[in-house]
Amino acid sequence: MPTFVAAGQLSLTAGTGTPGAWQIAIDNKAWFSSGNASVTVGGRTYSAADGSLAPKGQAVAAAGTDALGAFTATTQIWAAGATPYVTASRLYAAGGFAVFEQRFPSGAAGTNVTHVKGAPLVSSCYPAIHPRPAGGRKLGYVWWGGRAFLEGSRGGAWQGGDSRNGPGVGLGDGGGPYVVFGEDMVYSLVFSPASNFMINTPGMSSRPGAAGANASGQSAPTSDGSLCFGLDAPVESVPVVHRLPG
Amino acid sequence: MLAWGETMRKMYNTQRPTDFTTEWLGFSTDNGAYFYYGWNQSYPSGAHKTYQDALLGVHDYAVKADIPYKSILLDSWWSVGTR
Repeated sequence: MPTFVAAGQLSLTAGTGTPGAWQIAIDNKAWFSSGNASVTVGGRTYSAADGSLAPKGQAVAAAGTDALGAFTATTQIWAAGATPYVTASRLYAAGGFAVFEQRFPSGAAGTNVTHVKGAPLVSSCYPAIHPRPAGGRKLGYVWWGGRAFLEGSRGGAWQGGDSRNGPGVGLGDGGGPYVVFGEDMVYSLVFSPASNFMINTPGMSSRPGAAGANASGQSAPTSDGSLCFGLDAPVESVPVVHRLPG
Repeated sequence: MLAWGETMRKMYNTQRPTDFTTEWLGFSTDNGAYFYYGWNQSYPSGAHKTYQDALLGVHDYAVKADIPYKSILLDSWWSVGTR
């Protein structure tokens, strides 16, 4: 769902182990590896972390072309209980950017993990990013958010731990795009929603299991430590064939 | 960031509007900006007595630091504010 744009030559490489794993590299130097893809359906969070989000078959690679040019797509179909969930990445031949997409081909109900507006969580997580930069790389960020993409904006050192509050960028319904850059200021990496801007937001993923949502929002769910773009936490359902392309 | 903007415009088949404020770097005084309702607290005490002083200070610093601002947004909350 977000768009990744790099100043250098961006590459995505398939990871090993967890289905759908990948690594973001710029000029062949790793910046981020993937976290745990997850999705909440029927009040339950299914995650690749514990296998409750189950891959249906192998990821499929295919070439294609759209308005942005020629790309190579890698698509993985998952089962969140009985609900199908599809994730795909498209790396464009022009270089410099990739699009990640998640789809709900049958729609989904009970997707909210909380009723608390502004919670720093998402209820679906793809791409899932491990907040700790590869190789201990030191990074900084600037994030735009709040009213007019201005009032909440901030920047600072990227906090690469697994805090529920993420690496420092704004999360939840006030979230917007952010740019990450290295100490040498040579390359930068932009993460941004690319569609469905009102509900497609950066946020931390939820732990697998019962979503913990309740009407008053008193039981705040905790994050499993993956930084995501996905459905804003209070979104309760997804229409059929809803796409969150990035 | 420029490449990101170009990609998004291409994705949605839109074009950057021709507007002075979107073409060039500008200084904003709106909510969230560094000087917004904090100019007299955030700057060394006594350096700026008024909003006008603050903006003249911004200009002086921009010249000194070679920051090529071409506009300043005068937010309405500045011009009719009570402080």
